Amino acid sequence: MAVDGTRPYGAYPPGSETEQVGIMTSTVTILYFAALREQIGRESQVATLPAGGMTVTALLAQLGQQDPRVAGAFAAEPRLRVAINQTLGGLEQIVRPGDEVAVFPPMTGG
Amino acid sequence: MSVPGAGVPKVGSPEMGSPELDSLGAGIHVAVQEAPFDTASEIARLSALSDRTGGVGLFFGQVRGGNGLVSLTLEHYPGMTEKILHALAHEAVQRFGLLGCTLIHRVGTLRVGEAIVFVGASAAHRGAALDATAFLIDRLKTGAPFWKKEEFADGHASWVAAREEDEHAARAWSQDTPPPA
Repeated sequence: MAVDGTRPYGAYPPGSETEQVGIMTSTVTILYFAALREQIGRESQVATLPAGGMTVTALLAQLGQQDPRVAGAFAAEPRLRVAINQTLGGLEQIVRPGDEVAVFPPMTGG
Repeated sequence: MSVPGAGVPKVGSPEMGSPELDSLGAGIHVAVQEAPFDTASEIARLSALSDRTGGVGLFFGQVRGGNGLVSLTLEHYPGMTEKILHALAHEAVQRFGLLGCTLIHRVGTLRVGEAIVFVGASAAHRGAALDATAFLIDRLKTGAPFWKKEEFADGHASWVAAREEDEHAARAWSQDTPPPA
């Protein structure tokens, strides 16, 4: 699992890094926002997936097993939200190689 | 930092889909930006959309002070934010028969009293304009990927927790009929 901590805050042009990652067909990009981003200490990472993909639940469990900070941040937020390719998704949805998965707390705009 | 419109189909472009959607999209303006916005010119645009415009509903949100709050920092998910706001604007135009609407949301650090959000809805009659404005701000608060962090005079900072009443207000619009005023 590679870690990408180089993206400056907010500077994530849609499609750019995702497209680069998409070339590596067995990986998925994970983005963290707000309190999760701070607790985990980075804005994104790349994770390896099995060829057929896996559910969001399984992916989050895998990320937590690999990094105690991730596990702690997930445990601290009982209402985690997930977006797959910039569309809100459910925990049983299948994540496939090349997808962009964002994990964040409930939204507080307006 | 913000990328207004990047990765989002331009209104009226072939990517937007049906000709019907294209014509509806003509009156829609969406922006995510650090810069302030000019409320008067935004109202003027909505007012001038059509001879059939009878009124403009408006919500203007700003940073509320109190308890030593100095500023808010708004983070968002570039790309997804613009997609969600465009979808919300199209839904409002169709659901309330609007002539157009505007959603402008600022990001970055904003001090007490500074503008955060502008929601405007142009319609033939006040009912649709006011209902659409409430619909748009209620749904935006919990459905668009923005997060607020509060910064206080004593130096501490904390992320704003989602409020149950905000979630409830957004859910109330998911039924076929609008909630009673």
